[in-house]
Amino acid sequence: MNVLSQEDDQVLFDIWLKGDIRGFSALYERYKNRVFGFLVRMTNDREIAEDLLQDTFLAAMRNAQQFDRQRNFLSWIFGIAHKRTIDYFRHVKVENEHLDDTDRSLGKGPLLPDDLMSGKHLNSVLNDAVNSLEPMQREVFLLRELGDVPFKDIAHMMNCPINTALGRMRLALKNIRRELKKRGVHGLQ
Amino acid sequence: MDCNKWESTGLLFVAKELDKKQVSLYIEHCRTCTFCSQEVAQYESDKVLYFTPNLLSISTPPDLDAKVLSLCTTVKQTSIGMFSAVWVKRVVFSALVFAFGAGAGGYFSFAYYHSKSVSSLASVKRISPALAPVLSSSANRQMQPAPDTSKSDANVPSVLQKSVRSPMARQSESQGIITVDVKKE
Repeated sequence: MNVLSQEDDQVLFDIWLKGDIRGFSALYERYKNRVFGFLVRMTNDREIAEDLLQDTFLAAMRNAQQFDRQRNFLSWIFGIAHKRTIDYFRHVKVENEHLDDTDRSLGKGPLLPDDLMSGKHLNSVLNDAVNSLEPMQREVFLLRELGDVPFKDIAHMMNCPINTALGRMRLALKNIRRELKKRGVHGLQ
Repeated sequence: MDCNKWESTGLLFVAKELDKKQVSLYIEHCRTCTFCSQEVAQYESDKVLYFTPNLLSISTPPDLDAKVLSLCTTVKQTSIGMFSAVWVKRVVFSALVFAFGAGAGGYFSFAYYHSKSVSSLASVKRISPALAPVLSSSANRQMQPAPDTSKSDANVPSVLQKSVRSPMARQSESQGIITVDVKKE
């Protein structure tokens, strides 16, 4: 497994396609935290993010043949994670239509990831800054910075022109820097 | 003052999504635009200090890892290998399409030739009931690749043997006229 963990994504993917589960395990170990970070921040709910992570990797397992070799494996898996998140929000939206305002006010508020409680100041500040972003800006920012997804693919995923995705990214960077400065962390050293 | 090129090109530049020509053009632009050069420097700095996978990632709980890995080892891999379900489906579908196409083609070609022979029979009936068996046998012979005239035309009067087969004769038949090669006879 140690040898496999050093291999390129494509090599690991080929090992996985040949039926060797160690290829999949190595890819999972490599990217699980990134995908989980994306899902937690998108849903603001750790339990739901756990379910979505499971769904994401199961879907990847089932649809391995659809992976385009020209693409980055990470951006492909982020594409699946993004789709699962959108499906989740659609489901939540439908459910919320049946709830009245009282139920909503009693609902569970956004949960912060455990890492925030661990006392790591920088991590905490950065998480606050990311969470303060508008959902669309956060989505573009996380897809780009965590998933290395190209802007063209982000635009495709979000069903918007590339210029819109770029505009959201610019605003996300601007707002994160503002939040970091507000909390005493300066961007440019 | 903000420069529009940071949003339209600068972000693609730092994401390494520009081609060589665009990269050189943007570098040239950054030499004269302080806003863009500052933004690029700021982003590169943020990327190293804050936007790192370590800071943005969140660790998964160990029980979740075990659950996902155990689920993924038991899941049916529908797309592994050359003889996967997807490939089998594709091959079966192609074979069915081919078989259907061949069957349909064969049926229509048979129907076409059959209708030809029926129409010639109909024209025989219009000519004379007495000649119908003679002409129908000649119509059937048209469908055969290499008719042996010496044997099959044994019962046909010599007057009709060649005239029935020629296209002009067939046209005449439809008008109720049977051509006879008088010179030969």
